[in-house]
Order: sequence, then structure tokens, then C-alpha cells
Amino acid sequence: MSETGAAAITPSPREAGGGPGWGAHDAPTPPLPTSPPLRGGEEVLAHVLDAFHARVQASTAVKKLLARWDRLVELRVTGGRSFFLRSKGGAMLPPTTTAEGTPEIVIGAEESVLRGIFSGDLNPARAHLDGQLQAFGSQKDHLVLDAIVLLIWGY
Amino acid sequence: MRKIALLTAISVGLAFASSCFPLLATTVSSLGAWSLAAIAASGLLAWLVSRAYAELAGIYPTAAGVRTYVAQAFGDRRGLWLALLYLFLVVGLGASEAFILSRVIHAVFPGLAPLPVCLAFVGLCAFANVCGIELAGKLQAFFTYGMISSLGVVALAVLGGAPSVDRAALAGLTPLVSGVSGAMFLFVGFEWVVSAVEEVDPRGLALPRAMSLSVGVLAAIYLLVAFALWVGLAPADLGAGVTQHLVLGSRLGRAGLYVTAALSTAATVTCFNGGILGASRLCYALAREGVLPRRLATLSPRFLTPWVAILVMSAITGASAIALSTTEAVKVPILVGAAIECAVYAAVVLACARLRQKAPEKARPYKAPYGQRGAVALAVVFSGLSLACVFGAGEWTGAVASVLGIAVAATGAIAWRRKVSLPPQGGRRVGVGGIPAKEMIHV
Repeated sequence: MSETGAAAITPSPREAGGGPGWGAHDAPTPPLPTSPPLRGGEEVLAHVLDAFHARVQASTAVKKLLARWDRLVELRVTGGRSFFLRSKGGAMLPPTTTAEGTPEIVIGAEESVLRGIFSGDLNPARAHLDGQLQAFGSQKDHLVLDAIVLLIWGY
Repeated sequence: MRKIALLTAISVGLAFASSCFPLLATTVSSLGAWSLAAIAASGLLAWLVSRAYAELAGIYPTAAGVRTYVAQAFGDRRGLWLALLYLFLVVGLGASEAFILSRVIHAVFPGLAPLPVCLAFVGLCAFANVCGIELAGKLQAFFTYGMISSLGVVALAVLGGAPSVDRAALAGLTPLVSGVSGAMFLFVGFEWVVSAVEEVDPRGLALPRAMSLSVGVLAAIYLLVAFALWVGLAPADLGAGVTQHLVLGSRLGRAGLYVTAALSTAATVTCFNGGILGASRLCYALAREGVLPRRLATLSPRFLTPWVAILVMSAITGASAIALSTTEAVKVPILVGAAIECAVYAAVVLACARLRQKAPEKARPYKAPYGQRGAVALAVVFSGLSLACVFGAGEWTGAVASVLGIAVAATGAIAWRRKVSLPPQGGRRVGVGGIPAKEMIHV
């Protein structure tokens, strides 16, 4: 398990003020009408994404990479719901469970795989090669996403 | 339907190259009318292997393609080995394309020396790739279909003109095997369309049809051009040089020459560009794994492209093109490429059969129409064709065997000596060989 994993940096997505939050954790904001409550594993994933978002925001190198990369990324949990990450104007907006527009990239995997990737415990390239992770979108976008994860976690 | 048309265009564009013309001409030269049978047979084999690709891409819709299929079936190192061999193939193919294009340009504009043209072309493509310039999907499809139909019109016009030449004699069946093995090269690259699945066809439903159509379109145009070459060119013209298609085009006058040269250039651009683009991304991925030097995993912050990998691949291809220009041994990379491709095809059909046993629970949107025995039989055929590429190369047998031996040994050594692999879970927060992660990518 990562010694610098999710628990180390835990800003709330709503504190950053970037659209609808998770609803189920960190109490105050209720879930959106179209957004059913998060289940146990999904709630953990939501926290992991919060921490990942905070790491992205803290990384100068990643911000440099995001400067020319405005994209909406959907993280689709197999048999579950989706989470969205949006990069805009050189920053990554807090993760959400709903999003306007069509995602340019769709990452599909089991909840445990997504959690492992965004907490730095599972190598995304390895998961992709092993067929555990499916990434739909342009190959150029895949490169950038891969580079972000590399900059954040080191592999 | 649009997805099928786009995937078909991508597949055809990747396979259809200028090096196909001299290969068609030499096949016609050695086999005469039997060359049509050789092309049809290689088309049938390409279609059969395309079924395995379609099944595997349905299970693993990933741009990593063969790397993943073979790794899942037979282990990571074998998958890596084939991926590295593919890199070797792309360099050889790229060099032969640049070399032939330079000869085509020189034939049309004799004032332009071939070598500078060759290097300028490689440099221009490298620049475009570094800047991330790519043809939009619809434009690419339009470009490819326009190119194929124009070539068909030229071939039909030559056939319609019924020129009276001494036709190549009808050869015996003996050279047919080497003819089929060489003709397999005509289809090299059609399967690289699997790398577009994640982008175009996430559910993998359009790919099986698109690959069938692609092989059909390629076979049809090759048969037509081969027939036109057999009818329109004398035996002496068929076996000489690498610009037989220009001789064919010139049968229609100066305009025919220019049109054929333009088509040849277009074929080289689509094939070469696609090859360098794919190879540079593969380089990037392998550098990320720690197989290749970490510097290759460098992204341009401005263009978001793996610019170091692109420049390195282009430089190696350019150097290989210079070597070809000085030796004129263009047949060597073509036959080495065909031998590698036949070996990859054998591995893919076996991987398809193996994964049916190993991972029967995986969803398969498409299933190849043959079972275990059929796959083994196909693998034996492709292995035999791979050997025929080497031992049927005539005066080039030694050179082809040497280059292939070096490629197999070098890539095998890299794959098997690799000490650093992707940490599957957990692991260190450092990059390859203790290099801090932040230094592994330079943005």
C-alpha cells in the first residue's frame, strides 16, 4: 500500500468548488437527483479520486501538461456507476459523478482496479496490458493520461 | 456502417504501400499468370488470420494488440519479443518506402537526386508527427478510397488499351510457395487497425467486417494491378528496378505517369506515417515499461506527442534508407518483413486458440471460424511461409537470413534479459533502475 496514498491528502472536492460532489461521503451536499448514492466500494473510490485530484493540483509538471489538454474523462466502474474528471485551463476540476458533455476518454474497469490505479497501487500500463483496464478514446489522449499517472505515482 | 468504412480505410491505408508495386512486379515476373493465384492464396490466408485478430481484439480491445494477445496466451516475454520484432519490421518497411519514393520522384523529376529526397521525406514526416499533425478520420478515409479507386482506373485503362507486349511466360508451380510467402508482404499492416479499436470501435463489433473488407479491397486491387502488369509490361521491364508501376502508368502517356507517381507518393505517405506514428507510441510504451531507455518516454508539453521516440525512430529509419540507397538491397527488408509478419501471424492464431482454453469465460463479440486444429494448421502454414521468405530469396538468401537472425537475436535478448518490469501492484515510488519517477518523463 502506498505510504503517500489517499489518506495523506484529503481535500473535499466540494471545498475546491468544482461542481457536484460525491454526496455520500463528507455529508453536507445531498446527491443529485440523477445520481444514486454511492455504494461502499464506490465511496472508497470517490475518496481515492479526491486524493488523486489533490495530487494533480499540487504538481507543477502535471499542470504544465494539462495546459493544452482540456478533456472530460469518464471512469466507468464495471457494473456500477461512472465518475468524471475534467481538465480545463491547465487545472483538473474536482471529480464528480455527473458531467455535462460527452467524455473524450472512457476508462472502464472493476472498481478495485480503478481504486488501485488512482491510489498508486496498481500500474495502469500493466492493468491495460493484462486486459483489466479498457481505455477508449484517441491514442494521443491515452498518452497524456498515462503521463499524468506517471508524474503522480512514478510508474 | 461509418465505423466499418473508417476502419476499412485505416486498414487499407496501412497495408497499401509503394513497396507493394515492385513486389507485385517481381511476383508477376517470376510466376507469370500464377502470380494471380499466389495473391489470391495470400489474401485468403490474410483473411483467415484477420479472423483471429478480430476475435482477440474483441476480448482485449487495446492498442497494444499483439503485445497483449500473445502475452495473455504465452507469457509476457513472448508478447514483448513480438512487439520488438514489430518495431524492427516498421523500420525496415519505412526505409524501403522512403527509398522507393525517392526513386519514384527521381524518375518523374530527374533533376532531384534520390538521397536528399529520401531524407527530406523522412524529416518532413518526423516533423509532422512531432507537431501532432494527423489526418482527420473522414479525410483519411476519403484519401485512401480515392487512392485505391484511382489506381483501379489506371490499371483498367492499361488493360483496356490492350498494349501488345511479350507477356511474361507462364511459370511452373515450383516458385508458387515463395510467391505466396512474398505476396503475404502485400497485406502487411492491415492488422494494425486493431490499434484503432479503442478510438473508433470500443465494442469491437465493426472490426471483423472492416478487416474482411480491407483484405477483400486489397486483394482485388492487387489482382487488378498484377494483371495489368502482366498484360502491360514486358518481362524485361517487370524484373528491373523499383518503379515498374511508373512504367505501367506511362503506358497512358505523360498524364498516366504523373497520376501513378502521385498515387505511389500517397501510398507511401499513409503507410509510412502510420508506421512511424504507431512505432513511436510503441517505443514510448516500451520505455514506460523500462524495456527501452527512459528518455524515449518523453512527451512534448506543447504538442503532447512522444517527440523523442518519434525522432529516434525516424533517425533509425533514415539511416536504414541511406543503407538501402547505397546497397540497392530493397528486397531484403521486404522479405525480412514478410518473414517476421508470417511468424507474428502464426503466433496470433495460436494465441487465439490458446486463449479459448485458458480464458473461456472472456466475452467474445466475435469468434474465428476455426478451432484448435485449424489454428495449428494455419500456424504451420505461416511458419512454412516465414521460412520460405528466407530460403526462397535466391541471391538475397544470405542477407535476408543475416538480417532476420540479428533481429530475432537482438529483440529476443532484450525481451529475456529485461530485469525491470512494470510493478503489478504496490512497489517502489521510483522509476526504472532507481531513477526518480519525476525524471522519467520530461514535460
